[in-house]
Amino acid sequence: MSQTEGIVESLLFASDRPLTVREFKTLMEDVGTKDIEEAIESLKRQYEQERRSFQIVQVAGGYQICTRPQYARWIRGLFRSRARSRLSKPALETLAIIAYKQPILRAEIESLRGVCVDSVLQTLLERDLIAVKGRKATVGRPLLYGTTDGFLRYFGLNKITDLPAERELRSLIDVSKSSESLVTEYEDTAEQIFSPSRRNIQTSGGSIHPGGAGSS
Amino acid sequence: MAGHKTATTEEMSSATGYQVKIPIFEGPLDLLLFLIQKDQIEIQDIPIARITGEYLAYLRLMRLLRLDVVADFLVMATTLMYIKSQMLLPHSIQEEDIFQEDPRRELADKLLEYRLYKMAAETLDEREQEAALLFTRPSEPQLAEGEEEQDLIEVSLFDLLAAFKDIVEKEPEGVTHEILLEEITVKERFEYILDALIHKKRLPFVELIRSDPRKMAMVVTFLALLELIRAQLVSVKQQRAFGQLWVYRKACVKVDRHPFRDTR
Repeated sequence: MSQTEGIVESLLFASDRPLTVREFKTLMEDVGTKDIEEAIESLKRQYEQERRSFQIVQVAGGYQICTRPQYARWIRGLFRSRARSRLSKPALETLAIIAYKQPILRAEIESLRGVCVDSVLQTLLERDLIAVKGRKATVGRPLLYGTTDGFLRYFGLNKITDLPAERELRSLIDVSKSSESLVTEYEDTAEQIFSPSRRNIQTSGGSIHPGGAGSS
Repeated sequence: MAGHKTATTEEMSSATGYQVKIPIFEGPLDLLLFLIQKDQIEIQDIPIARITGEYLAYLRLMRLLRLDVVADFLVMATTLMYIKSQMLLPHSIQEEDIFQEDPRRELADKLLEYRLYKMAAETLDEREQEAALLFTRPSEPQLAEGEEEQDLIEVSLFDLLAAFKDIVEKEPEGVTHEILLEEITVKERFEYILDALIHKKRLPFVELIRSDPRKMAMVVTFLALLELIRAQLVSVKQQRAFGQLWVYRKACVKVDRHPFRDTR
């Protein structure tokens, strides 16, 4: 193991949060980005080859050492007291809307979900998964919400655009639909062929992107 | 109609003295989507009369089960009935030219978008489960200068009000009785609190409130603090019940662009 690898590994080992390449560079002074990235890749390979119980993952824009999933059973026992509760369905739905539409107003989330989201937003704020990102310059200056780094860490994402794009979501919907009803789809097609005048609605729908309108 | 239904639900829950809140359906859109999938209907071509009937039947069932039928469900019921009535109205040919919009379109758009987010939520759910299998070094508790902070308790609004009342009441009656037109704005006070928290991670609640000991100022400071808590820019914690209250800066606050800076 080279000197650089050793330093990188020790920093990853000791850190309680993901470290970015920039942070490595600051800490290691005269080592370049390329050397750091190479050291990380080399460490990853070594852990893989030696079948170590831990790995290096990219999360929230940085690198972090974490255990491999197959050991979760035992580690859970160790951390019994700080077991985190899973998010509820309403919380996940609200979070999904915020992740794709941020920055977004509470009223907009409510219109998309068709229900009041007051208490759900409170929970998400408390768990540091979302934050107030500012205020919209309209009447009442309502608060705008967006996801946090905590969100990325919680879901093991490196960046917000790692979430599936709209196209992928649509194909997932199609897959789940087709497995349910192959027969009706056939019938549908037949109906369309025989009644071309059928009034189908061309929907505009809102297009969605992880990270909201700002990212591509 | 909607008003009548709400009343019935309220009567029932007050009569039984309890209310069960089981989210079988996350909301009206979720219920509609369920009905549409159950009947294998295309969202673009919903048979409105049939779906409205089924939707109302479910509402009745939910009420029968003493589930909390929230207003949102009733709003959707009226929307459905409105669309249904629109579809029933005879259209003359000329009218059809002008109003080509299908009355179901807005609902269809909504359902399609909602379905997309529901799928996004499912993928998040999967990610959550996967991520929960990976463990990292637990973060070290951040120690403040001096005192150790362990197991801080979140403070409720009532604790805050009680603490505020204490300060105001304990405030010695001023020796001077000048009457001045005092202009203190909530905005000034949040600026003050946030600025005070730039240099320190936390400040005692008492110290913040007394920072400007005029009564009016204390009230305004308190209001500003409530607003900051609501905006999640600061939090108030204590080490034990009835202990000293501390106002903490939230780690995520970037002081140079907090949301109130440009407020008029």
